[in-house]
Amino acid sequence: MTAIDIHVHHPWTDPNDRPGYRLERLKSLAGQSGIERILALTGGKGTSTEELQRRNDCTLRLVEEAPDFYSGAMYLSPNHPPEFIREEARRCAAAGMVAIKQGIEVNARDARIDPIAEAAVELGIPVLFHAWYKMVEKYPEESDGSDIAHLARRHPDTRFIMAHLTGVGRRGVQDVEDLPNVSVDTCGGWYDTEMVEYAVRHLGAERVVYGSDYPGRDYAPQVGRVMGARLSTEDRERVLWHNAAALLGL
Amino acid sequence: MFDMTVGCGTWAMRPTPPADPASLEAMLREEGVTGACAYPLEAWFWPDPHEANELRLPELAASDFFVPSAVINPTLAGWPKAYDLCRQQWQVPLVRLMPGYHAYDLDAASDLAERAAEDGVAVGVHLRAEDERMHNPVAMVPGVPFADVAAMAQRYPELQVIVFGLSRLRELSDFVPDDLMARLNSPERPSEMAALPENLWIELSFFEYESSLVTALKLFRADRLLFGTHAPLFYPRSNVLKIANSEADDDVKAAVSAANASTLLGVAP
Repeated sequence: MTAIDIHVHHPWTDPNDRPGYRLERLKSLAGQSGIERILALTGGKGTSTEELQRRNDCTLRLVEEAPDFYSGAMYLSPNHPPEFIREEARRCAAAGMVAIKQGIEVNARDARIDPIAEAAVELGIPVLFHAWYKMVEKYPEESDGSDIAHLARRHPDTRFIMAHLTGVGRRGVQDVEDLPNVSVDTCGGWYDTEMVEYAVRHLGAERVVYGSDYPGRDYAPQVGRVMGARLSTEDRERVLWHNAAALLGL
Repeated sequence: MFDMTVGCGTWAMRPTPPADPASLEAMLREEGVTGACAYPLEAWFWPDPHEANELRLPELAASDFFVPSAVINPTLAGWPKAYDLCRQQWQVPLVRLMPGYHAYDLDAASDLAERAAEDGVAVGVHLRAEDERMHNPVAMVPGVPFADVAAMAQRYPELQVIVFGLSRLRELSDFVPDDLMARLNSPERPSEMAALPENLWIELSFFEYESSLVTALKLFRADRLLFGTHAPLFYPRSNVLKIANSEADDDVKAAVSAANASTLLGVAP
């Protein structure tokens, strides 16, 4: 069974300087677990506009070099001017990027996110948004499921992927259950049994999408939680491949 | 594959797949696991974990698939009696400690450690049962410091000590030079490893990094690594694939999957 991994970070910030980058090894590691394509994510919290563009250029370079393996997600900083957000989103989408990543820079309830959600709907691409319900180690602006739901209600025409199913847990799934513009990715820490089944039961298999959070996590055990869940063959294929392909327009 | 850590019974905090011995065995066999060291799952929360031993170990001990292991709280006055019963009735080769959930420091297990060392019984220490970030708010239990387990192994060199639930590299900071941490993502294997006692074994169900087993091999001796699924709390497939899909050599995978456990517990691989 093959998969698209919709949640893979890359650490490089300069397209001309990628220490330790070995494409064949990355492809091999993913391939050993049946992952044929990854959505490459970058961060940009606190960056200048120039630095952010360099980071997005770094992701674009990966995609240019290995279009059969990488799809690219741009990072847009909610602290940048709305005009720049729009222009950078258009530039990256025109160059082939297929999603927007949001992390912990600004909470999803904050109006500064709105220009990003508007750019996403204009370009017809989804926003993959970090989310987690935490009892400890919570980041100051970190969104949880209720924050993602607030954002999704403000922007019903924008497609969101709430990251970290196990992190948001059952409460997070219920937060977005009545919001058809929100999907959830399967990563978020360890591989708690029954969680994938719970998400599929509440959201439908078409709104659950496989992601690993590599390289902080490992492809094999992360894909294992989907392979090991009690799902029909059709639903497993949706989670591992078809939903990501549809979301990313592949 | 021999699974070093599965819980038999009921977990209090959320639904899990059925984990009576028959269901657990069927679930693990489906994943290619051919034997498992099991403990009573109720022991995490029950005030006297020996009641959980009495509930689950008779059936586990009668099984050809499971190797029974007991959970003991060494702060209870009756621990020596519980220990003796588990040894005599069910021949447990491993006693597990859950200091976080039973609210004690490992220093409180000194007498038990001495006794186990004399008897050739291994002692396993569980650092955690779940991701602390998502604990139930009425049961927030900090992880047990890895350093405390290493200190136990250092203090009792004749005792075989297993650490269950090691998760993040920061827990190893006292034992690993900074430059080794920085080189873990390098393709080359570092020349030095974590400085740990030889009688300390590392179970891998929570250990996860890019290419987890290869990362573990840069830190720990291959003959001290143990495969475990942490079923029924984790999908067993995750930890099966962690080993099976690794870039590590097949002989290393074989050792981690079964041979090391066989050496440690004295059971057929």
